[in-house]
Amino acid sequence: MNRPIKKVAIFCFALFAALFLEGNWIQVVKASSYSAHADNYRNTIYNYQVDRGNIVVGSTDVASSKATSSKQMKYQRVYSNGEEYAPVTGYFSSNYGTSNLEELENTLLDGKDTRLATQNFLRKAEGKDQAGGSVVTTINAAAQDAAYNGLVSAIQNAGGVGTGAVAAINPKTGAILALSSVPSYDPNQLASSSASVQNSYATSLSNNSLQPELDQALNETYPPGSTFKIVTSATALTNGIGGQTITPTSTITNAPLTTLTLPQSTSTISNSGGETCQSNELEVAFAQSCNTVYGYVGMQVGESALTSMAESFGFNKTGPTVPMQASTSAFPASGLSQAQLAQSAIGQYNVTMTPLEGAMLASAVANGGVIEAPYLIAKELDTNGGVISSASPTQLYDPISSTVAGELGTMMQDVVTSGTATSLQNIGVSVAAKTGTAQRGTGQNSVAWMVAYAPANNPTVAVAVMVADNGVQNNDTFGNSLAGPIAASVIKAALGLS
Amino acid sequence: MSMAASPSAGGATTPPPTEPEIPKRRNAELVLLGGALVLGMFAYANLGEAAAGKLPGNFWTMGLMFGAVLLIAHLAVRWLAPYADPLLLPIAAALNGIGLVLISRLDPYNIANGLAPKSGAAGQQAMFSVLGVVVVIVVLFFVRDHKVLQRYAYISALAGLLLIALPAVLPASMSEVNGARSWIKFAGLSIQPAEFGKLLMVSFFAAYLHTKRDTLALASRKVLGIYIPRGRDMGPLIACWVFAMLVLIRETDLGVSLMFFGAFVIMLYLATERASWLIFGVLLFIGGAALVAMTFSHVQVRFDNWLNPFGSVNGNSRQTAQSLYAFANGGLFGTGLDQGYPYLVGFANNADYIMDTVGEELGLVGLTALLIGYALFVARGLKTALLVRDPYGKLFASGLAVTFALQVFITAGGVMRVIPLTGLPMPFLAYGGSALLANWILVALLIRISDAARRPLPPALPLTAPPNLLDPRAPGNGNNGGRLYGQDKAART
Repeated sequence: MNRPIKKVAIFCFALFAALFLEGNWIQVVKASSYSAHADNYRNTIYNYQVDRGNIVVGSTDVASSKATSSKQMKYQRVYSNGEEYAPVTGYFSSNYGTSNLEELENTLLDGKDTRLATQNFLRKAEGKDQAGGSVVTTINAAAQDAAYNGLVSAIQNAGGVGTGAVAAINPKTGAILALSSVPSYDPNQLASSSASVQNSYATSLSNNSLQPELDQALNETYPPGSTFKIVTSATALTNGIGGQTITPTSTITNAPLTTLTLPQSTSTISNSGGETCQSNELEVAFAQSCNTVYGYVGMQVGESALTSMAESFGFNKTGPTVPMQASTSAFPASGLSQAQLAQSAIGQYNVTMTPLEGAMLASAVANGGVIEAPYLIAKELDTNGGVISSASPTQLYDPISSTVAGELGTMMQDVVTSGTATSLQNIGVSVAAKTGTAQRGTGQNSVAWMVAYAPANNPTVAVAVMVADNGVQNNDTFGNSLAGPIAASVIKAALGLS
Repeated sequence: MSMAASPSAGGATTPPPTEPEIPKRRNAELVLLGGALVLGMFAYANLGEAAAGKLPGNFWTMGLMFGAVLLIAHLAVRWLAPYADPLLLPIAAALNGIGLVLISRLDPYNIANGLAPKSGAAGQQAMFSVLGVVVVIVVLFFVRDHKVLQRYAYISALAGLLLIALPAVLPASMSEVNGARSWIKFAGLSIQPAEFGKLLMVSFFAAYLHTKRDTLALASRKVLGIYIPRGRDMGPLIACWVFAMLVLIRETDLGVSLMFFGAFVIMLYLATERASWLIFGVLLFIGGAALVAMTFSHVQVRFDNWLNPFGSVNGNSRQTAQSLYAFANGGLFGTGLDQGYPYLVGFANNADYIMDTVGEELGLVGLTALLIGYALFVARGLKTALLVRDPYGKLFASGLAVTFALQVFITAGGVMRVIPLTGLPMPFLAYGGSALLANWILVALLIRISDAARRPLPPALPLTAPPNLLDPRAPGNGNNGGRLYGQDKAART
């Protein structure tokens, strides 16, 4: 009977060999693929076992990790002023993943960054939990407060129906000073240790047609309206009209003052409130925001010149990464009719822009014609607070010459001193600005814009404020009255004025 | 047939020819038992350090008790089975010790979630471990010769069948745990009768096949090069097959039926040396299992989970998926005891799914070491079968070893997705008193057989032996007869 026993022994050996091979298969070959499964709760646990780094504004942590008594969920993510800073921090949620800086700086924050490998190796040797590095943002807390509070009260005054956004940057460096979007959401709810809290909050967000989780400053585009006249002016000042050099004091001959009749079209362009323009001198038309003159200028400079100028400001190009990816601002594709061209020249028709692009228009003028790449991360810190990288400003676009920038600067100061931006007068600093009141489809109120920079002689803040308000009467939604006061308080806060 | 050594043949009058000295290997066993003690206590210390940063409160008490129990077991073997295989007891002790550590590692979660008694499962299991060693001593004391069990073949069969079938006829309230009706619950105790049933059935198989092997082996027709057994010889095979299927259907327990049927077919092959039995057995099982899988939804679900473990991660295949996640998280070296999350698999994390904890916290390295331990145990069992001289002992020892191997494979293979999960407790590791006791009895039986196998032959009879020793009719010689030198080999078939 010994021969079959030996064969059975081989069979038993084969059974164990099969187990061993399967062990190799599931523990080594397939391990990383199994571990990455979405329903593998270990991923969540491991995320909550890291002393995740902070997101810092000034010297305050707007996002930090607090040790808990739970053994599985060792650290709880806490956001201070969560709604105000949500467009910056984003959220860190066990069920809904991560967003914004929490997402884009995740490897630094959770300590997986190779630059933290040595520190975390030493921590492990000491028996400490893995820790992450911190992100210091460029946000100016006072400016952010001013932007958020201004937007919230503007929307509240309108009955709570509407959206608004502020983007403020330092034109000399591109550092983002304020990034605000209203309505916002509370990332603490999405980071809750209770899955049911997370779920019910996420449901309420997705049921809200105003999309609170959408960052209106970076990722929503609106018609720029008259603020686009900065680009139209830049085209005229750079290229001239009909071979003639154009300066701010040039008179645009044949430009109508009351009604611009559009060729091959039944529609016309008129000025705000049907008013008649005081003059067809370029800087007066700019300060008064004359649509009739600027529609005419658009047709005179021509589609290709206007398009290429818009694109040199960043239109039709992938939005900058700050590190969040901003949406693309758009200038309509080629083949425009004269009517469409005139409409586009005053920021209507199919021109759309993000609030960040609005701030970039202002900073081009403020910074001698150069747009620095906007950025949100000033410094990255290791687990001990040592600096491992600092932002260095880089030039993003160079749309206009310093001469044209100087001319545009004068024109934008006139908008405040003798034009439409009266809300920016007498705020303790000289401001250069351009208002915008962009019409949208029927049934929607206009979008109120204010694009500004200050101090006019040595600019350190460029800001764009957008309020798309559906609650107030249509005749109240002017850039100056709705967006202007918010721009004023952001500028004052950024400059440390009271 | 049976020409085993008879103890009564010992009293020769003339000096026997010198036999080579056979080492008893008891000291080797003692050293290995020390190794098992150190391994278990090291794991326990490691668990305490990882969980609380200090040695467990009862570390030294447990160490002392564990050591004392192992020493007593060793002394008992030294006294009652001095020639026993030196590896069986240490391997079982090491596996039992590791099992205790794993169960106490899972206790905090299971107590908090009502999956273990309030006082913890580890304490109970430790009690049953001590009881297991007591049972080993009792078995070794009362069963001085394994061939005695041959006499109780039909009683074994009856008792075994009764134990296996009992849960199937009991009301579900007394037999069902998580969908499988393979338990007897009364007075707060849960017993898996199949664990004891498997020993009785293997004993019966061995005895039955021992008497019928010639009929089964020789009376068959050759068709296409394969020996087709006669219908009347197929009887027991068919009966066993039907029985396995009935158990499977009634108790929703694919594991038990696979184990019994597999053990029976392999023992049939061992007895007859006819591979055709294997082919028949495999075909019958596959056919039957397929039929049952298509007819009964719970079996079908197991198959679906096996084929598509991530198909319903919050539903039917949740535990299969969770099990794979545990192994994946362990990787090569594991997370370390108490550093992983094997309890996420939920129900039966310390029983059928206890290999998850091995895979996740001890890694592929620990898993491999454990598999080698099991494989060594099976190898020693089969080695015993090779060495033992009587065919019943050969069948019994190999039957026990094969049953053990099948149980390890069916359980670990189910958890690791080699085969569909069928729900058997992992021998020695899993929480469960009845299973632990049954496995210790298995160890005792193998120790007993291996003692007989390695015990030196009684001195050969001189050709001038007193005539009454050669006379089968003489008192005391019975059927076994006196051993005739040189006839031993011929007596084997």
